[in-house]
Amino acid sequence: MGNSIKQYMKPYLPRYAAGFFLLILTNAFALFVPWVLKYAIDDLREEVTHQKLVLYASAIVGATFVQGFFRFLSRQTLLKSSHMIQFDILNDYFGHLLRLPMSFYDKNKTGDLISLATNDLKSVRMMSGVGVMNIMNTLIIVTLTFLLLLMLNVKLTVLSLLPFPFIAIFVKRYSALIHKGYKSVQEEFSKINTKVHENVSGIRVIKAYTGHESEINDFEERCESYLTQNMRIAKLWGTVFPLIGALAGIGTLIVLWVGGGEVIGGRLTIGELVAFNAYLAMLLWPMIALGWVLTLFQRSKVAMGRISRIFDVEPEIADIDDASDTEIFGDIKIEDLSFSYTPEASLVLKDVSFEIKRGEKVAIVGPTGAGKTTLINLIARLYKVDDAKIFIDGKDINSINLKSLRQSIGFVPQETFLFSDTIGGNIAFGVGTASKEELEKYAKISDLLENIEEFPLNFDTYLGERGVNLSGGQKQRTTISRGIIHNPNILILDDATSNVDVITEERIVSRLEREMTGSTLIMVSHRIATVMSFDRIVVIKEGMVEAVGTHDELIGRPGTYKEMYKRYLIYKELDLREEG
Amino acid sequence: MRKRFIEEDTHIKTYDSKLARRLLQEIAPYRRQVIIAFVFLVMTSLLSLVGPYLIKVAIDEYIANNDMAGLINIVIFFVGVLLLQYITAYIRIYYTQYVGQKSMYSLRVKLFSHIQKLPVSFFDRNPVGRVMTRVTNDIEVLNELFSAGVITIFGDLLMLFGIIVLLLFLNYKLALVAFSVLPLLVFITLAFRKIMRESYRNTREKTAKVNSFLQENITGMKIVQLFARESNRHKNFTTINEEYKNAFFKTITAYSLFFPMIELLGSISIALIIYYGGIQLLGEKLTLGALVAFVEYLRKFFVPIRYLTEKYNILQSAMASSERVYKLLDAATEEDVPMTAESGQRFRGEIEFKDVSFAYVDDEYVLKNISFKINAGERVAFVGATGAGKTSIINLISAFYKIQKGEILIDGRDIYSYPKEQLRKNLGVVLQDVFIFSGTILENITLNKKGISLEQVERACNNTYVCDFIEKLPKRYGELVGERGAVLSAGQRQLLSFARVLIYNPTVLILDEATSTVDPHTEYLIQKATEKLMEKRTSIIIAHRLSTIQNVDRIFVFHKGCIVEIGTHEELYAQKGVYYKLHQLQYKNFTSDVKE
Repeated sequence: MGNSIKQYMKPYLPRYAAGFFLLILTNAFALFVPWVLKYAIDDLREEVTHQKLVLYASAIVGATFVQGFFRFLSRQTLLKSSHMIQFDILNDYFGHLLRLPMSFYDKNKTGDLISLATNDLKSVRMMSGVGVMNIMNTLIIVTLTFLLLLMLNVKLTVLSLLPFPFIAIFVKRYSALIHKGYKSVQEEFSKINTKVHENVSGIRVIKAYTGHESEINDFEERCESYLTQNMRIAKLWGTVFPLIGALAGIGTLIVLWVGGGEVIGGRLTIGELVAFNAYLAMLLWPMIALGWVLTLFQRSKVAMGRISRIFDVEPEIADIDDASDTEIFGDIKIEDLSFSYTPEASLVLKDVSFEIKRGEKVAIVGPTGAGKTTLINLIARLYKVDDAKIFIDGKDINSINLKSLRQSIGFVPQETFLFSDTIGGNIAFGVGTASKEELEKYAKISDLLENIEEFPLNFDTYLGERGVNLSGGQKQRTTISRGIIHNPNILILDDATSNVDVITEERIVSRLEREMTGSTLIMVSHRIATVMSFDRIVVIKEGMVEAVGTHDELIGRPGTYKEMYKRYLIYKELDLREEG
Repeated sequence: MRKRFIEEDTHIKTYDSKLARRLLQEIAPYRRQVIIAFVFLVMTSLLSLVGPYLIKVAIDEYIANNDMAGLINIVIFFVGVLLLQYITAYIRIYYTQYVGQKSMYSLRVKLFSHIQKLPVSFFDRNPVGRVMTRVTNDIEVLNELFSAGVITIFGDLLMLFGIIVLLLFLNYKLALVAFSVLPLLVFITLAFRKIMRESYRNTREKTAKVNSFLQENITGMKIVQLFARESNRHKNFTTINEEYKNAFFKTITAYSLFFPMIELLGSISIALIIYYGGIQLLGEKLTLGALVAFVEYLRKFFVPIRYLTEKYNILQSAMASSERVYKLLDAATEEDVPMTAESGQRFRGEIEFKDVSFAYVDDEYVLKNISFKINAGERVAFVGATGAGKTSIINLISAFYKIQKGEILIDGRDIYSYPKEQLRKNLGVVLQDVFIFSGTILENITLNKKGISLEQVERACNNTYVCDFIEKLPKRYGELVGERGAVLSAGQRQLLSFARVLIYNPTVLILDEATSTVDPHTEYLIQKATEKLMEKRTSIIIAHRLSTIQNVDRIFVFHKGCIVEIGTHEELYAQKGVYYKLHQLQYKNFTSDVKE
């Protein structure tokens, strides 16, 4: 894995070299055409034969054909390289993201990570393709043309190239202004962006306070300064852009004036004059493009710097060298575990210790924010844990092969994230593919089968925009099926039935108990009704273990659990679900 | 971040006359500037054709005759032409930009104003990001169409046409020979246009696929890692990435073929001129200067053709964007009645629900046959478990939604018969999650409304006990808050929103108390500020705090979409019914931060 653009370009150096060579050939043939023109015109002025005309005409067509052939090859070689480089970077980038732990995703927004893979990578690609091609082209054309011009007439060359440096300075100064202008345009644009974002997000407040008029006024003001900035740029463009045309004109002007004089003085032929003018025109575009290419290089350097910063993040959760594939049975021991998400942040878990035997059904309960989710995230090693704090089957979790560990765990998280795939594909996510019988079996456990059978394409029904929209409860039940299809030895459910009604929930839990015999079951829940029958209940409060015991033991003594139980009884009387 | 990641549809209509007409309407107010831009566009294009003709004259009349003085005259004339060309180009660029920028400015403001009038239910269905893209990026694409695309296509076509006419005029036989390649040129361009449209569509599709794959897998990274599917996901991504690369390869190949082909046609044309022109020259039917001019013109002719296809792509994306923009502009606005002379009147503040039933979707009723009457100046509290329907009542009194059954009356009149502005000016709503806009404290309190003095704001803040906090900030009321500013605590946000209400001075106060726990001191301030807010107002409090409940005249108990009990705290408590139980649930032990 590399992170500098040079490293990514290196494997394609032969391609770049070939591209350079092809560009030399391309330009050699391109520059041949005006030379033929020179002979043709001079001959026409003196005397010319029919055969000679045919020769000139076919030389022009032939040279262009060969030039076109090489042009085709050079573009193919150089431009495709840039896409190969983009492919490599993108592949490495995603591969790297896959290895980064959850703490990374807590700190980095998805949008920003995607923006790197699209906008920033595009700058890098443009530089390594169009940018490199243009630089090479400019270099070749300028060198060759300059030599040809000198061969035609030294005096004319010097005089006609005279305005170039002045104009270059002028353009450079103005492009600095334009660049600055674009930056303010960008700033104004992002102000408009922010405005719309906040307006739409806060639309209820705005409506409630009849604030729409002042909102529109404010928006108008922002759009107006955006307009003003854009018009400033328009004026700058209006000054600089016609220069390109004028530059060509000035070249012709000097050729006509000085060159015409030279012809009159007999020091130059008309053919040479025409060829000179043609060569001068060929110099124009590469010179103009140079400025653009240079900004492209600058921009891609910044962009690659941003991408590299992601590559520089070391995956802090990785297998140690001797971590081997092992079967995991599901004994879990936690010893004096303390945890905070960042070194500066306060502790989310404090000296947590308890033990779960394989095959046990354990519930974790406690108020919101007590650290329950953090605890089970650590059992799945989603965050970095200190050594010798969590043991699975007697082994330190950090010494267990990550893949074996996670494949032995069936995890049903709180958030019901599903992929835009078929419902079958989502259930079989952990195993890749599954037979219809398997899918049916596991959909039945989570009480989802009946719903699926109502869908037009059963398990092949697409979810999301392209297909059906699942209700919150259906989504949760899909994630449960997904969590058990690989028959894990440890099943972890994080408040995974909050959107399912009580009767269905009971049915699911009892089916899980029946079908997953031998598996350790850890369930985070807010509901007494769900956890009453569990082998053991761990009560977590403010990051600490308050109590561990069976339902009967816990209601026998004062504490959080007993309070929860009292609340549960009232809810039951009111015929209401327990709230989190 | 500017670009949207997932294009909603990659299917693009090439040209839609209805859309095009609507777009033209946007520039209609700038007719004068359009005409100026167009006149100068014609002038620029024509002036750029003068150069080769001057070369012809110079060669035939002066250089051939060794007339240096004449040559200098031509050169001076040419200087004039260049200057004029420069000026006309400047004016053209300025005015095309002017028209594009101005019309897009109006369209953008129009769209934004339209969004302000959309019903709340629209925002329930459409994510913020989508609405945002319409106002920003989609209009930006249209802007590009105006400033770069359409106008330059006109300029290019005009120049092509001008060259054809000029050559025919110079020597029609030779011109016909030169243009004998035109049918082939048209054929190749059309064929490539088709290929390029296809590959352009393809690249967009594949780009969207890469983006949505990344979006989905980064969002679901936890799942990917939990299920140890990293290598599988990486393999899938490689496939998509490969397709993405290949889509671009096709485009590259298409352009790599197209450019040289155009060049080849150009030089065939020049070769024909050399050959036939040479024969004509021998027969003295053509001058050398004219031949040179011919060659120069043909060179100019083939350059813009290369770029026509690229401009065609701009046209395509603009069509797709305008379709989305107009779809939003066509979305139905909130039903409203116009303001009248008496709309300025303040309500007395009597609110009555008569047999009201309401559902957000289809027939999932959240409120069932609700009836109650709140007298002007009365203070009531709504209590009930989550999902009992309390918040829906706020939405209905604000007329954010239409009810399915029954009647809501304010001061004895149907709520929907009031202009929304009058209604909402009389209501002061504090939502549970206080929304803080990026901006200064002052802007957040006044919500950018003009005519509110700093003194008024200070008084309001004083009354809501938020001034102590604000005075401690380095820039006081000018302190930035929100996304890029200081972070406010939940309690500070609430107090700030109380100040908003006081400034607004509504007849009816609707307060959805926040459930978030705050420190005891702030809690105390919130209680006192709530008292101030309720003074001389009809007040509806969705209560989570015991203290507020004890200060109200009546408590309405909501249960599963119905009102089951009404009375004072003492009465209801003594009843030992739903309220009693809810009270036990909400106020015992668990909410230990609340002091009784």
